[in-house]
Amino acid sequence: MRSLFVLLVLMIFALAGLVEARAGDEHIIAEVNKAAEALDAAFERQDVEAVKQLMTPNHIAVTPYYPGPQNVDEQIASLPDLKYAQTIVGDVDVSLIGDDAALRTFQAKLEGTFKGVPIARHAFVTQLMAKQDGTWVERFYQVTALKFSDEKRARCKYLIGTYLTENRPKGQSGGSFISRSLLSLGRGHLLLFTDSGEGGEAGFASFTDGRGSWYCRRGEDGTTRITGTTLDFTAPSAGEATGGIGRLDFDLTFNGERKTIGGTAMLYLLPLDGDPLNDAALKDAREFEITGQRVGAH
Amino acid sequence: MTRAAALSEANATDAATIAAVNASSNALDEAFTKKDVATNKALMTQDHLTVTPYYDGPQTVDDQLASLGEYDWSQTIVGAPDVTLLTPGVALRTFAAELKGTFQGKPLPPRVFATELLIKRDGKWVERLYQVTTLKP
Repeated sequence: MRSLFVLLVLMIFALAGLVEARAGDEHIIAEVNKAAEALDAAFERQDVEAVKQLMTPNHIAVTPYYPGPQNVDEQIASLPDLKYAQTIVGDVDVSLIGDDAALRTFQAKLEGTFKGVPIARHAFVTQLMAKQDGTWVERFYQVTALKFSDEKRARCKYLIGTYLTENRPKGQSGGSFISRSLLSLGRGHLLLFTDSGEGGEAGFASFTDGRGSWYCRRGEDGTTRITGTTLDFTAPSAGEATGGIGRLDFDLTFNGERKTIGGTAMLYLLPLDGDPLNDAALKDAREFEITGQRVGAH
Repeated sequence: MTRAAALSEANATDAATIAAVNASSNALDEAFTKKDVATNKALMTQDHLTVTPYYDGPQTVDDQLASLGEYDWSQTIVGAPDVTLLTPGVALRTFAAELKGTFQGKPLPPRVFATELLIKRDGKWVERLYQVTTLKP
């Protein structure tokens, strides 16, 4: 009886192992994400050894910019031809399928060229990850260029304009604002930022206008979301030889009926020789709540 | 068989399993061509995702079935599909194909690479992901 019970338990576990897990195991998903991100980083810095280690020997990559499906050697051989930066848009979905296999998918904004030809800017990426000898490695990689839908194009185009905002420290939405800004969403994703506090105020040195990029997408709740980043320069504080760089990350929602924006901005300050585009270098964020009204022609 | 051996990638040695995977994929292609909603549903997982260059973004089962009427599609597989058993219950099927037809009146890309990820559920192979990438001419 005992052996039958054990057999039944083993059968149940075996069957359960074949059933797709729905992102239940956060630890495994974190490992999958870590391996995938390491591979992306290895590609961006063209690190051949790391690329090899993080892919299976029978790895295949399929993209619209390669001449066809590529094996590991072909990908490595063409690394110098690939100038590539990837920004993930929205959430990364990791599904654990079967045992020791994971499907990782996301949408991404790609910037760069392959053999001098621009690569697709908006893409859907699939990574099939496998656990081999205790390590997650990529078995398959596929990129599909996504059609920029007419609806989305119209939705994003409608956001273009300048917004007059009120800015408050996080959690003080009922209080008076600490500064006002002009935030301009321009064509070609150009984002411009001017703040009333640029001359300096309590706790802040003077700083310049900010410039950067914005991107729009449909939120899960159907709203139009705007994400963007600007950089500016801050003047040296007393006793400092050089100033610094400021980075503002915006996460806003657009109300089409009222033509308003609302959301948050995270401010990061780095030394002048810091890398404001390296997320890992960002710390000590100050969070602000932002509300804004589009400036119409009168 | 040890757990490690069971979990390692099988190299398509199981002809019967591969035949079953191909049969399921071919049946789904046929159902798609016939616009057979019930069979399409039966051969895809509920969380199925389709990604192609001609859809407006990733499509769920409902999205895909809702747009069946806007499709005029035929696919010719170039060469033989490659089926790899990643685990005993997960298969990766890939192939190059020539597409003919239109979606919402616009021509489909003529030369593509297609990936199908199939999983075995209740003894039956069903598709979990279908992804198409346009290949250069």
